[in-house]
Parts: sequence; C-alpha cells; structure tokens
Amino acid sequence: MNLEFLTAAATTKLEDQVQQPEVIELYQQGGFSALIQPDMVRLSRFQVNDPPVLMSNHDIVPEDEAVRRIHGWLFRLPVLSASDRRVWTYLSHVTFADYAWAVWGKSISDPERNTRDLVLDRLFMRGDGIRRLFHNAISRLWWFGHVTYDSQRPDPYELLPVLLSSQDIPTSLLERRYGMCPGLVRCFLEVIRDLGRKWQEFPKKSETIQAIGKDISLLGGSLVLDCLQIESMKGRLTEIIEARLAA
Amino acid sequence: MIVASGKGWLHPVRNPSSDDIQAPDNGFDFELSSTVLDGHYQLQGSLLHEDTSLSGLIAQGQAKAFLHLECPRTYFRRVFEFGNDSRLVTTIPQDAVRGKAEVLAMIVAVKDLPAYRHPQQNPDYGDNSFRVSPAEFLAVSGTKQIEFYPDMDQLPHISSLLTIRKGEEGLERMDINPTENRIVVLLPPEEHKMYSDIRLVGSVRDLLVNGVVMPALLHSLHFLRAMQPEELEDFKAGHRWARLILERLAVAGFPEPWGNADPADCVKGTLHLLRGPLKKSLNQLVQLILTPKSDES
Repeated sequence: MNLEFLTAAATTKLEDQVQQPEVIELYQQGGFSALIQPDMVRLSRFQVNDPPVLMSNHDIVPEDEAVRRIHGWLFRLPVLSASDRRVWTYLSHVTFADYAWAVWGKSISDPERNTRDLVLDRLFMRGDGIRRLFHNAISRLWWFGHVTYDSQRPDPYELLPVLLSSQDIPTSLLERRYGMCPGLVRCFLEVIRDLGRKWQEFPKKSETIQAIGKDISLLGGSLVLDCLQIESMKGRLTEIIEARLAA
Repeated sequence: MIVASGKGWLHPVRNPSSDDIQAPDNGFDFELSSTVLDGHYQLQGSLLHEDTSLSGLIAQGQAKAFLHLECPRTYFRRVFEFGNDSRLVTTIPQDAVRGKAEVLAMIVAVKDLPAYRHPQQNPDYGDNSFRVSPAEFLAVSGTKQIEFYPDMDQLPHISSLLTIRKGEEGLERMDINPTENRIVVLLPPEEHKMYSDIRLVGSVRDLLVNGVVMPALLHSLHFLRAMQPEELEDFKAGHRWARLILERLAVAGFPEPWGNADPADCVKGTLHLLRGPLKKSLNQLVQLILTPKSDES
C-alpha cells in the first residue's frame, strides 16, 4: 500500500475550521476523523506495510514502543516528507486517530484549556520551526526515533529510553537549534545514561535540564559544536552536566 | 546559526560587526549560489577576506574554513569545508532541505593554539596572546538566508500558474481561490462561455489578461501579503505558484519578506509579473480599432 496524505488545500481548510464552535466540539468529543472526506486525500509514491498497532485493548502502547513502531514503519521516509504537515495531519486524524485521542484527548476536551491551540499543536503541524516536528501527536514519535536511531548499536534505539525518561529532555534538547547538530543529541543522552543513578536520583531534574540547555546554548556561541570531535563533545557535555548536578 | 551582533569572545575573532579586528580591516564575507542538478542542490561558494594571518593558519593545517548551513524545516544542520583556494563546491540531496536555510562562513581552529594573537587585533587586547581550542571561532561572517526549492530555476508563463474554470450556476462575479496548487479563477457560467469562445483569439489575448489574470494575481499577492512570515513560509512550501511568483518578484528587487508587504507593492508586483499589461492591451485595442475590417476596404 502507499502512504496517504492530505492535500495542501484540505490541510489549510481544516486548520481554518478549527475556530468554528461545531468543529471545536467535534474535536472535544474525539470525533475529528469525520472531518476527513475522501476527496481531501491523495496517495503518495511512498510504499508502506500495514500501519502498526499503537492501541491494545483500548490502552496505548508505551511511548518508546510507539516510537519504535512508527519509526520502523516509516523507516525510509525522507526527512522532507517527515517534515510535511500534510502527512502527519492525515495520520493524526485518520490512521492513528485513536492513539492521538488516547494520548491528547484528555487535554483537548478539558474546558479549562485552549482547545484550538491544543488541536493545532497536536493534530496539525503548523509553522516552519523545529518545534512543530516534536509536537504533532504522531510525527514526534517518528522524530524521536530518527534522532536516537543508531545502526551501529546492538539495539539501534538504545538511547531512546534516556530521551523519554523526562519530558524536559526532548523540549530542552530537540526543540533548540543546537539539537540539530549531528552527534550532540546522542552524546548528551550517552552522558546522561552513563551517569546512572547519580542522574536518576537527582531531585530537581526539570530545572537542571533547562539550566543545562542554557549552558549548551552558551557553549555553542563560543565554539562550533559541529566541529567538535565526538570525544571532545562528550567531555564538554560531561563537564556541564556534572557542574549542574554539583551546584 | 546566527551570531549576535557585537558578540564578544575571549580572543580576537574577525567579524564584520565586531571590532576585535578594527574596521575597516574586519571584513569577512562569502558568496554562495545554489542550482538544481540531478536530484541535488549544488552549492558553489567562495570566502571573501584578505586576512593573510588566517590564510596562513589554514595553509599550516591549524585552522579550517567552513560553511555552516541550518534548515530548521527539515532539521538539517551541517558544515561544509572550503578548499585551500577559499572555494566550495558541494551538493545536498534535494530531499534533505526545503525552504529557508541560514548560512554563514567561519574559520575555526582545528588544533590547539596555545598562544594565538592576530597582527591586527584591537589595541585593547594589547600584545596579549590567547589559548584557542579546537572548534573555537577565529573568524565568522554575518548570517545569510538561502532558499531551497527544486523548481526554483523554472520560469513558467504566469498563465501556467492559473486555472480558469466555470463557476456554479448562480455565481454572479469572478471568484478567486489562491489556496489550491494553482490559483483557481471561477467565472460566472455566461462569462466563462464567452471567455472560452474567444480565449484562443490572439488579437484579444492581452485584453483578456487584463480582465481575468490581473485581478487574480492582484488578489493572490494580497492574500500572501496578509500572512505572517512564518505562515507564509509554510504556504510557500506547499504551493508552487507562490514560490515561483515570489522568487520572480525577489529577483526583480521587490522588498522581502512579502508577508506584511506594502499594499502598493501588490499592484506594482502584478504589473511587473504581467510585463506592462495596460500598454499591451492598449496596443491590441489600437490594432483592433485602426485595422480596417475586410468589408470596409
């Protein structure tokens, strides 16, 4: 079978509709798949197997398993397509609508939250920046796999559990420009993994990760991260992280 | 990557917006062009500087010059090395980048330089020398933007970007939809029939352009103008007509970004794209009026 996607016009129209009360209501009730009509969908030239199962007996599979399944399913997807809002809007609204709803439905249906912003953030892929890649309910799974996958390791997704061990790590690491630097993400995750219990038992992870992010940003202003040898990069990151843990 | 204007380093760094090396000797720039070639973007660039001290370090293998390229849309970030002749020729696969990318040139140390000093360093540095570690900047240019679209080199007729269709019964006036892959112009059925009957008549083609294509283009440029810059980038990525039109306007020197452009630029832009439509149609009118019909001769 071929991967399906929405037309650009349909995606834009759908985004625009997310301010109409009746459409908002549909999203709040989880019935948003009904918004997709056959004439909004096109077949890509990208061939895929049957989509993976992300729900089991109404329960979602663990996030790291969902990453493995989505990234494995679309392993050869070019990054250009993996950054294409038409693909992920379709997958979030149709193929994996149940999963998207199971993970984000509680927030979307919360009357205290801004439904429109949440829907556009999690079920669409708006804008041009890095952040959007890691916010869509399904694209984030592919991109988490993409940035951690390393075919040289016995388990290519070995660093994935480290990335997902705190929700602050993807935000502080991947949604910043330095996160695009090849090698930096894996070095960072290796350093965290190698710290073992020293990291796991550290109490103020959230604040510390944010502070570490600022330190890496400063480091990237004084030297070219891309030109650092892997061992030097690990050394620098170890210094930064150890210093924050000791503070 | 954007290096903040006026940024300070712990050692002298040649940079056009800092006085580590005093003006006017602090110039450091680059040229870069991109062409589409066999499924790749071919980048050709050259460094522009006259710093014999830094060139010497490169020749000795103690420093290297790189082009740094970041494309946030596709999460692409890479450095490409300039040759010893300060030139760069490299390729990037077409499916690795799309839309706007940031580029800058730099020279970085690749070996430990325990006592680095620059012969033109600011007198504030005195005669001091500095320890510079591998990967630290020695020179950095300002950041420039480059756009990657596989169809950028094509210059089709404007008419190929439009689709003119018959509207539903009851449509009273022209309706323009710029959100499709092409600009869609719906004409009231009666007008569409007349249009279809005469659109291939060469002697009235330019008059038709004034009546149909011009309002569609004008509407579409206003449609783009109303977008926020980020939204516009997203739209361009999915709409070839917008890329091609804005590229042609950019080449003609219209201000960028188009998002939030001056409304007057929409008129000027339309007139530019259609290459003087009024004059063309007036010429046709003159021809029609002055050319005697055969039965009058």
